[in-house]
Amino acid sequence: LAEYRLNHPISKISGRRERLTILAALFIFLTIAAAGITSVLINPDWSMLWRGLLFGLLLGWGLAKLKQKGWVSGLLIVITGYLYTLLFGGGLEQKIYSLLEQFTAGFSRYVFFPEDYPADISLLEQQILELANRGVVLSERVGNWIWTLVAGRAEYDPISTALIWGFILWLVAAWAGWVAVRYRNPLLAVLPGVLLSVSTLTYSQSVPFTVYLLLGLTLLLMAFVHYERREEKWDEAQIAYPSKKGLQINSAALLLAIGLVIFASILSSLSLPRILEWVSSLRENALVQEVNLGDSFGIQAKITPTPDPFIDSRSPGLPREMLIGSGPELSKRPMMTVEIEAFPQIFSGQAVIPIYWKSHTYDAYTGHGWQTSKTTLDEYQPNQQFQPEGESDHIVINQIVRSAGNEIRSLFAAGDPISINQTSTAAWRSPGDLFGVQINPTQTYGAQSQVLSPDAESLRKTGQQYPEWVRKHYLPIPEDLPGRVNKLALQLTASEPTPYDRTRAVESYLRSIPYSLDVPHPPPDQDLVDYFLFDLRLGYCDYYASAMVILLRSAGVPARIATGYASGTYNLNTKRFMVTEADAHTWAEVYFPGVGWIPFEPTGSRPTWEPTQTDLMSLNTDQQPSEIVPGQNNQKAIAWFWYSIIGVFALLSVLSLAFMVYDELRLYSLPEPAAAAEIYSRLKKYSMYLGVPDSTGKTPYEFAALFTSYLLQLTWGRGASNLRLTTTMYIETIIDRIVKVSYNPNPSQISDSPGLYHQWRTLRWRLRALWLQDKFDRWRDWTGRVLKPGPRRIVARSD
Amino acid sequence: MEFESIQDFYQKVITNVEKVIVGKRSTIEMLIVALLCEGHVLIEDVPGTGKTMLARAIAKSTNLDYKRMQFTPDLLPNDVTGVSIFNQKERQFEFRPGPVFTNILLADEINRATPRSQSALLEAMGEGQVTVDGQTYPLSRPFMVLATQNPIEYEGTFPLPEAQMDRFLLRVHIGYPDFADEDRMMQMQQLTHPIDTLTDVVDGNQIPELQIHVRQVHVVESMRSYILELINQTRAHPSLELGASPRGSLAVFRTSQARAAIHGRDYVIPDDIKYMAPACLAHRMKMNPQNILQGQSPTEVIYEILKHLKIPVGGE
Repeated sequence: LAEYRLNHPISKISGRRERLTILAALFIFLTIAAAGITSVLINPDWSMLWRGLLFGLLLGWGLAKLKQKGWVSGLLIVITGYLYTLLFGGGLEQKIYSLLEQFTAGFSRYVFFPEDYPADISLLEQQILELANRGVVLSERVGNWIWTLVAGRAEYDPISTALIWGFILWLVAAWAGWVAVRYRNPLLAVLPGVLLSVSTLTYSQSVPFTVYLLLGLTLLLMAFVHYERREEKWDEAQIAYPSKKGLQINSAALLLAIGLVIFASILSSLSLPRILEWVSSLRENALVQEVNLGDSFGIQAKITPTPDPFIDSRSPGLPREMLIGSGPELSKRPMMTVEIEAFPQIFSGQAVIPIYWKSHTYDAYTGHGWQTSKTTLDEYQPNQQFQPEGESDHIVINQIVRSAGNEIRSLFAAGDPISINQTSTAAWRSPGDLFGVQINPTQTYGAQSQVLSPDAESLRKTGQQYPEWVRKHYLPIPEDLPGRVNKLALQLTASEPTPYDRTRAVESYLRSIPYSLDVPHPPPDQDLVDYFLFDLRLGYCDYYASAMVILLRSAGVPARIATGYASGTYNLNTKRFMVTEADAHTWAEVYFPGVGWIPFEPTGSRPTWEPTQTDLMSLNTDQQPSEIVPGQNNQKAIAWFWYSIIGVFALLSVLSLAFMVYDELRLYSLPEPAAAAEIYSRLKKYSMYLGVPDSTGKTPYEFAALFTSYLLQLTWGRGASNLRLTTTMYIETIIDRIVKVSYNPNPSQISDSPGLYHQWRTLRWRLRALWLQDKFDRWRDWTGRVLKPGPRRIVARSD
Repeated sequence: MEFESIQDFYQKVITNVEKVIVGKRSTIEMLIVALLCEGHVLIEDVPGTGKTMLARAIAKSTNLDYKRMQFTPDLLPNDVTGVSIFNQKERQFEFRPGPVFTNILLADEINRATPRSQSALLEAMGEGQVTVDGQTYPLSRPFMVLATQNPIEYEGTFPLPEAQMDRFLLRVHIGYPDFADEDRMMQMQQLTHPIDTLTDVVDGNQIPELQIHVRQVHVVESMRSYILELINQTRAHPSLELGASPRGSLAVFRTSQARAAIHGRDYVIPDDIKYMAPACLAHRMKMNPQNILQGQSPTEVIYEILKHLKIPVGGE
């Protein structure tokens, strides 16, 4: 046996491999748990979550390896998790990268062209400020979300949700890593992950397939960790074991786990209710009948001016052709004129929202175009009101529409129609949610409508309490929408405080994309918005509006597509709007609770309504840095920036000074036995810093002997030897006193040397000096090795 | 101070004994500790390492009575304790004391005698007295048994059961001297054996008094809990079938006191406990069979426990 032990030294490498296996298994486990959770989430930012899992796991693992205290690790994990989710989940990633880039650029400019100094760093500071500002906005946003959650009101905010989930998964990952190392308890480590995914999946009633995988991985982890712990015991007891045994056991555990997972999944999938549910879901799908309408991106619908026969059959009574025979050729041919009363009031008064002659709105996005959900039809007598006047700020407009040729088949009106002087059929998606109004073909009609005229401030205050019908129709996005669209939406809107600001951010982003009518057909297998935003980056109103609606919905802001005509040109002589074919337009409308639908203009070639002065600031943040003019404000900001940095430093130093003073006083006032314990543990800490091996079971005298012999072994430059000798002397006397204080119950015999506190004070700075010298020595050694080519310098570690 | 007299006693004895036994300071120290604790010692070693010489040197240095007994399978209990013989002249029974009536008794190869004879000696060790034919005879004080045992040869022996092992305060090994010491030993013994010229340096009669002083050494609460923690860990250790007995913790306690005293301290420090614990505990514990097969020994287990056991420093 002894021979066997000699021939088979215990391999440490295999232990490391086991640990790596556990780490990998934990990571796979967390990934699957996260996949399970994200499968039921709306728009998960998968890459952010995944990276968070990895970093969190490694952080927890590392902290446990470093033997940090529990609360320190917890605090670190929470803080880093918070920063991580804020930076990467809140879309501030790009900002940080650009900031770094700018910083290095500025730094190198300063290094190479010092004559340019002082360089203009206002841009940099502006960006730092902005970053901080956005961080604060994000935190507030999450805080608000939590507050409303606590208050018991449901409010869907994709950013807050993404941040919260990112943070939770970070915590789960860090916990798993920490517990796996510290407590060696795989069950406890994966418990939060399992609980989280199971509860999420149960809540959303999804297929619990991932739960089986989690089960299998938990089993596997238990086997791994158990085996590793055993191996460690064997190492400790110096029992020989073949190094291949771990591989065998672990692969057996793997097979067993796979078998169990398959068995479990087969067993549970044989349940009858599930089959019934599946059948009934099939039936429901067949029942859902959606009206395929519209403007399906332009290309087909607009090129063919003839009515789509399918539409007529599916939704009788509503014309397929809502834009009076228009096409993308968009000539200047006049289509109709609109005469309205009291025109100057609109532009000179407070209403700044541009006028659109709206005919239809669409809610359902197919990935290639727009259609409306099921509608109900209502007949209306002439001048019968479709809907009462709204309660919020609005202007009632009476308009007379005259056709310039073709007969008009549907109602065009500024804003929301109130009534028309003809018999009409209105199509409602739900009460108050109008799809469009059809009239008998006519050359002229008069209609009354209302245009909302809120100002930006009131729109900011509307909140996010959307009614059920809005959430149901105007928030959904296709499940197969590419993730980058969603990511862009989050990036654009994450740090915007209100839905209004988010809308403005998306709008101004889209308005920077160049306008073109000459664009190729979108590929049939690609999402239209994705194609427009990332591949084409060119387009006309339909593209802009669709992109805006989808981006806003991804950001949790309800929006819809509206079609009709832009206002056209106003003729002062005839006092009429002249609307041409070229004015055919599609734009986006955003719902604000308590206000209604407000139009926004993502197409850069057309004017959007002017925000008030306060809006300008929030809009400017997204513009190019070159547009920021350094001025007095910037000077103030710079000053504020430096003051805050200095302030933070001052605060930190004051705090640490206070802590040091407190610590000294405490040590000074402690009774000697307690001080002995404290000082002894500090001495041990210093010895660890200096590289003395672990001395858990050593008696104080043994520890002193070890410490001093170690100190005397170190090789340092001249002049250090004296310091070393005195230090060893001091260590011996202080240990002697510590022993006497600790174990001698007769204090009268002790008081022949200076008190422990004073001895410690004289010893402490020596230890610090030695530590510095040691670090310096190692550093010099390292640089010597790295910088000097040739054979490695051999360091003598003895005198 | 009485503790200085203990230290003085120790210094004199050990210097004197070292004239004969070269390079075995720690073993001599153990024996002196046992003497001061009224304990008995089991010396386990191969022949020729100086077991007899050690016992004789200590006896001579302290001017104590010394007897040696070779244990053999045909040894009878009366050969140990003594026998009552009918005196024809005075027409009454007369007690002839056995070799146990002495101060230092070297019981050589104790495992060669039958259990009956062994237990006669062990009883005497435990009680400090001998009963023959209903008559009780007290043993002289101090009384210390140094029993030896050969760990290699087990042929035809009666190994001591656990209960008997527990009666020994310490078990020590002498071991071979190192190269230089063995060389010195040969030179020293070239003409005469140094034991012949050894004289007494202390008075053995003061030992009972010193034994009382040893008991007065302070053991603070944290040191007692350190001992208890150590004992508890031997009881919970996976490779041990049987941990240390309460007599074992008492042995560590007592011997640590004695060691503190011989080093001139009136308080026990962790070093004393760490020093004494293996000798006090190893022979009281029983290993699991599979650990025995792996070549692990109880001493190693104790060292392993001590290596990881945190030592309490300071007070609240």
